[in-house]
Amino acid sequence: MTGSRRTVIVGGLAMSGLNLLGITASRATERALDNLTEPARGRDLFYFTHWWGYQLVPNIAASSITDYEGLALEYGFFRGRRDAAGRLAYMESWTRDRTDVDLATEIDGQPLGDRKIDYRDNDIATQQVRTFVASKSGSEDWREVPYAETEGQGRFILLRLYAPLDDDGPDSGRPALSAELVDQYISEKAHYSYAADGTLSKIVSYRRDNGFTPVEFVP
Amino acid sequence: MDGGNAGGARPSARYDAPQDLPQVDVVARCETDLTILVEEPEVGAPRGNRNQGFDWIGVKGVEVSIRQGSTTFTATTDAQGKARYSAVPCGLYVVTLRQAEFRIENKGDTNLKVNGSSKSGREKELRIRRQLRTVEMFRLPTQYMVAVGAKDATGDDPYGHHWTKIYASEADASRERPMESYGWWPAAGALTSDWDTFTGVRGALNGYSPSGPSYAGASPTTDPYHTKSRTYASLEDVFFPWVTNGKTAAEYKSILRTKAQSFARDVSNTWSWRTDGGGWHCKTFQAYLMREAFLWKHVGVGIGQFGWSTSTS
Repeated sequence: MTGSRRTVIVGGLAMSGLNLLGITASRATERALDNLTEPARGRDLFYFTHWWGYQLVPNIAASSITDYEGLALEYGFFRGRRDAAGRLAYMESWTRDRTDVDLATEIDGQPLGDRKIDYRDNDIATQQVRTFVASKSGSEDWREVPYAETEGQGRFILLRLYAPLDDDGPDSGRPALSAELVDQYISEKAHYSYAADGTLSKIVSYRRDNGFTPVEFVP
Repeated sequence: MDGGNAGGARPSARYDAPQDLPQVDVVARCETDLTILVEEPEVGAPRGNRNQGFDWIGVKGVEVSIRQGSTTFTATTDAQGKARYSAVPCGLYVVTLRQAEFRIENKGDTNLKVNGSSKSGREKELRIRRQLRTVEMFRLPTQYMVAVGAKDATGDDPYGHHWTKIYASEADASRERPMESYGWWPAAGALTSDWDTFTGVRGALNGYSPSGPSYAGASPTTDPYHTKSRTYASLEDVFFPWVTNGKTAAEYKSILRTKAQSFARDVSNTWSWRTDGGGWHCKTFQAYLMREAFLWKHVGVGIGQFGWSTSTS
């Protein structure tokens, strides 16, 4: 994903309910934090969609571990890293805020609503979403990119299908095409430290809602 | 005193109608004023009333349309659940019911015969059941054999969770964009042993604590599982609830919010899990919210519209 932080959206887009200026400021803060706290990206970081448990350190649901490709239809997800002993050492919570984009919005001269989404076996869980990011120049032009290029914090347009609510309800019928402006960002991250005997010794968490001020918890 | 036409000219006995007046056929118009009462079960009425303890209550805010050919009359039910029409021509009408945020099942007649036999107007009762499409119940199963202090072979969630999402509109519901969600958790870090599960520990709405550790994704108005989709494979149940007691969508949502906030006080800030499944935990919390807000997983109707029943599970 490009690193551009756009606060102006092309006409026809529904604006996000987020305070865009606030987001921009928070991201500036976070970029600084990233350098200090986020482990180097690499194979040791893995995505997952479900954690469980009532302890201070969440348990990762093993079956929900996936690559970024597997997150295409998720509304939020997590990323973690284990230490050499296999304990969770770091965890990020990722949020995808979504607002509608008018299907009449044209990209490269073609309305979003005219584009097709492929899926197999009449199952929209198999759909191949389409994604668009703003051009590097920072203009208001959008270009289609492979979904994989949306990884990381940023903003993109997601074109996808939704299933009707149920077969006999008012929304019954064919899957509905939808275009959404997705703001994808880290809302929270935490570092877990362990004592020599293996017990949890400290948690340092950073939350977007308090400006990523580090907060320490000692069990 | 008038003595007749004495002294005056007698009018001509002959009258020629003007040629430019149209021929008028006088036909008695058949029409009537009409009231349609839309009602649904009311839970909590004293037993002994009709319908085995259930009473009926008017449903406000339902758009009731009656259509005959290309003619449609539409009215919205008032606080008593009555939609009123005036001067409805006689005929056979098709009745349709609509209400934003609800799916409505008309359990009565869908056809309405209007005749002019009643000068004071006619009243028609329609009994319905409604499904609220902007509140959604999520249930992840508990794997009881491994729930306490253990995890299953795949490392997946043995505890499960029940939580409730609230959407602003049906469009948001269809795109799974909840504005709020609520669930009941032990406060993060409060459980230090399996025994705590049974004796009870401090509970927290959404597992959120303003001054202590919270679960990932928790906030005062979002359950940690807020973003989990209805397509999540591990869910054992996800449904839009049926409603009783004739309230609007905004009223049901308001009750949910209020009761979610007051639950902690009602249970003395306790989270617990008893061996019989009782206690104050996510499942009993969701069932409590549903009962308080008159939301049900099942609202049934028996033969002849007797034997209505409700259930949260």
